[in-house]
Amino acid sequence: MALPKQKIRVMAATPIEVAGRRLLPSVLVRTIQGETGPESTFQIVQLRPISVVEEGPDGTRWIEIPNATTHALSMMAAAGAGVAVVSLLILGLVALMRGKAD
Amino acid sequence: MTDNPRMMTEMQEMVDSINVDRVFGPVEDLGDRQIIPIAAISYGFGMGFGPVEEFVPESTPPAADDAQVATAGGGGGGANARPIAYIEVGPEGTLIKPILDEQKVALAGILLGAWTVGWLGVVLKTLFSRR
Repeated sequence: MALPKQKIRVMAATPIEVAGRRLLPSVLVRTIQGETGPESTFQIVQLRPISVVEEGPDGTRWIEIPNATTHALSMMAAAGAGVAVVSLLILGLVALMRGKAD
Repeated sequence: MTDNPRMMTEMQEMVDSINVDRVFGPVEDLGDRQIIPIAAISYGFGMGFGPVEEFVPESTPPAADDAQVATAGGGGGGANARPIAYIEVGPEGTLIKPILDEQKVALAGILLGAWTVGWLGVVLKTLFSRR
């Protein structure tokens, strides 16, 4: 069985005209395609908006589209890893101090 | 890939209906400001075909080489769209307001709390235990 092929592209969506401004969105497209046998196939596609370029009377501006949920989850994962590291450090110090005291 | 044109056509229609423009919703006019919803979309499908291997008793004479072999197959797919932000165009200019998935964050918060309490328990047990 061959490994699935992954393709990542940044594609421009159709510009949006709103309130005298022109918004040019871009989307990250991640495609995973594979064949699990001679007559079987699968495909997974993820579309994630990444930014909008605004063209207006004030000029051109690039605006990032944040993923607040992913950011919050990443922060929580980092906090969890920090708790584990600090706890292991304390446990190591306690073991070291008790070893010296004996 | 496969010789089942109907299933391939339906799958292709599903794929064609989801393109990058679907990520940005239609402009909603709210008076002095306009709102454009933004979603993260993912979809997937899989299908497979193969010859049918049916039970043939030993007493049955062997089939001719040119006998037709039945084929069977199946497939399935799904799509998911999750709102992640919206664009607000108003008198202040163009702003992007993120949307937090509170259910996921709350679940992760509970897991983080349990993780922290567990580590705290291990540390306190070690500190106050006899040697």
